[in-house]
Amino acid sequence: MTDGTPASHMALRDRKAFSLLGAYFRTVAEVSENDAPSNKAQSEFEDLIRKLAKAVLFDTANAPLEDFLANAVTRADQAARVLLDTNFASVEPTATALRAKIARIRCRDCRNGTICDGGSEDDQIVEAGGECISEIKAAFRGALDEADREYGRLPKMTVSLHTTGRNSPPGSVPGIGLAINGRTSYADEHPRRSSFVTLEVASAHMDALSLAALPYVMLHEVLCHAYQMSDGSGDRTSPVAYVDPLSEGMLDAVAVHLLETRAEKERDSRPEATEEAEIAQRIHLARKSTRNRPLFPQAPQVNLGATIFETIRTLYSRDSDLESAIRDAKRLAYDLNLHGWSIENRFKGFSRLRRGLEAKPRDPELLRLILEYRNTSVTAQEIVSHVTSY
Amino acid sequence: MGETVFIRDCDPKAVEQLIRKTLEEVQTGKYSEELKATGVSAPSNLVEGLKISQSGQGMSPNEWMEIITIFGPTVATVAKDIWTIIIVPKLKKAFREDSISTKDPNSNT
Repeated sequence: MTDGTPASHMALRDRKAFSLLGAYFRTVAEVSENDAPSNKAQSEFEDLIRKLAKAVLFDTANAPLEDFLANAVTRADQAARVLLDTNFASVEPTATALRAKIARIRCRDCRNGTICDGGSEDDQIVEAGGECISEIKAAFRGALDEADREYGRLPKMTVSLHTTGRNSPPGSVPGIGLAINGRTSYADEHPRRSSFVTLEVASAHMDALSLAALPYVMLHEVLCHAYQMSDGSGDRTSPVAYVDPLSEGMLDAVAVHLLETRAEKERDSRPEATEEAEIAQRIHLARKSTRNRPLFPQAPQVNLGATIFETIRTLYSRDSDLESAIRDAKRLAYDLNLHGWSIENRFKGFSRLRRGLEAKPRDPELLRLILEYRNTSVTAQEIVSHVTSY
Repeated sequence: MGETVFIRDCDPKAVEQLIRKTLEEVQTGKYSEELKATGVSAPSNLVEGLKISQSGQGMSPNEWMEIITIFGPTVATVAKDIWTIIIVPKLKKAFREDSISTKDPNSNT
């Protein structure tokens, strides 16, 4: 996953907090209805777990992560028995299941017996194994696989995962309190291309919602940003002055669609996929809403890109079934995103695209190019040239 | 001849200790691989004349404070690179992203 640039991961303390809360929320989701605790008992137990997760962020001892997890669950169990008294019985199945879950995290399995100790080798150990952040790694791998399948013609390049800790939640999407946020940066040195996908994690604030949002956040970074502009000839730079409606809006709408399709397929085998798709849709709607207050800063451009995707999909569905229409609209989105056109040109070009497709009368040449793209007689380059010619 | 970092939600003494400790480690060659990759080599007198001080006193943990690190004049130029490549990432890892800033968070520019 790396090109020689070492991956950097959040500190041991943050991974301890993350793995404890992650294991807890996964356990809660998996406990059967019959074994589910009362709301009060669960709330008290969760408070205990959360206090232990917060406390470890100030720990300087750097004891092995698996020892921390075992001790934390024991302490939570003991404290809950005292606090809840006879009501502990309702939370006991959760506590037992949590203990079984964390017992499967064995630090020595990560990298030939070398265990993280807060020192300089930790990043390499996490990169080799990293069971403590397995949810994050699984979401990243899933996103890479999905992007590879969907784009179908990705260039040879490096996309690496990094994680970093935060004290406070990023607050990046108004109205949705997520403990995580993603960002992508580039380190191209012609002809080599490298994308760094960084997940920011406020470990102490992790909750079921943030855990469920991981697949979407990773898919957004990989599908929308990791490969963008990689067909171009120059080194890529992160946007500064303009927001890209194509990657932030159009591809984001595609990401949500992919998660919804996945949820439909995995409905029986992996029911949590439904929640993952629902949170993805919620975040996408919040990001593109131009009526919410406070407004998501990129809302106008997200809205523009998402609208273009819907408009093209609708246009295509007039001549074919919905599945083919979506397939071709996605293909166009991917081709446009791989194209090397600058963020500024994407910003201006998408505005022209919208005017050309929604105004009365529509731009006949643009319409022809969009429709004939489907039968491959028109390339994405021609569409880009048309919307950026002034 | 100084490097500045802005901090909040963390103990300024702990930040100072980490800066000093890391610079001493750089001087003894601990990060030579990382520095070599970017063409930088650590001088043997990196921590000579080193002074670390705080500026400003936050009224609450949420307010930003400034930590200023002054290097000896003969190492100031290479210290800038070492600061960027080694010190800042180490601080962000130890105290977390949102507690460390290399730009003045109170500035509008």
